[in-house]
Amino acid sequence: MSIRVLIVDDAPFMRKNLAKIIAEKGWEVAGEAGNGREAIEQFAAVKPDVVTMDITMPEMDGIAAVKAIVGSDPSARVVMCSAVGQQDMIVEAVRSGAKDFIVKPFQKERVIAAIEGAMSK
Amino acid sequence: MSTSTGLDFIRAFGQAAEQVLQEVLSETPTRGAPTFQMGPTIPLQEVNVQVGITGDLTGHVNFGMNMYTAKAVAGIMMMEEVAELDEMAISALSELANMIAGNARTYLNQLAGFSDITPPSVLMGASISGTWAHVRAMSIPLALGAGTIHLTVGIRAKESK
Repeated sequence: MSIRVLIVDDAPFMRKNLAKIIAEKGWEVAGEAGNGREAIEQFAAVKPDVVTMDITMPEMDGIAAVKAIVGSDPSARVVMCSAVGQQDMIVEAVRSGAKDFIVKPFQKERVIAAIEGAMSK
Repeated sequence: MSTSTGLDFIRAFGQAAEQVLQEVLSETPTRGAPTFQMGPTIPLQEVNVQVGITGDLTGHVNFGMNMYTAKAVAGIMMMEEVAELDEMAISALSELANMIAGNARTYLNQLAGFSDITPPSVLMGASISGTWAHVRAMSIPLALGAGTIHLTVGIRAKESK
């Protein structure tokens, strides 16, 4: 089954890394966004199966974005993806509707497991 | 109010840097002796990635390195040779600083209450200098096979100046 993923991260390097993992798995990158505001717009436009969401981003952070996305679509599947040490924020994001979280630096297998897990929830 | 010192803060970043560099570059850096900066001027290198600290703690962190080291570190992260420090290579270095600062945040929160990190910014130039007001900075060299990353930390508890 192909999964369509929206990648949200302000770092082009991280977006490229995640896109490579998704492509190698045979899934599709439905879109990319560099901050929370763009993520909300992209989510509405491309209707992805799963969103990978960074937390610390300029303009609008990932926690505000996950609240807005899940608020507009309670079935949205969002996986937080952020640096270790931000567990308190990850807890807040999960309370806001995120399905799982990935800690940076991450392993490819963890990314795949989190996306597959979000699809099964 | 926190009783933690600059030495505690730079140790937190040094420890975080060791963990993240080991995971990302598969190499644990050799940590040199810390040095105090005697004035507000901080040592900058050719390539500098800076992260801000906000919350109960406030200040700055700088990851400085020469161009050769910057290209080499970015190249390892990108798994390709980096001839020029383009947007993608700068993004890789920024993400490295972000991961180290995020990791250090765990220790900072244990030391002195809630703190947060700002997105990284990058300064490049052959002969540049900078100043950090209201903080006394400390530096430690982190020696890698690709060269040295000069870690400079200037953090204070928000209540004190």
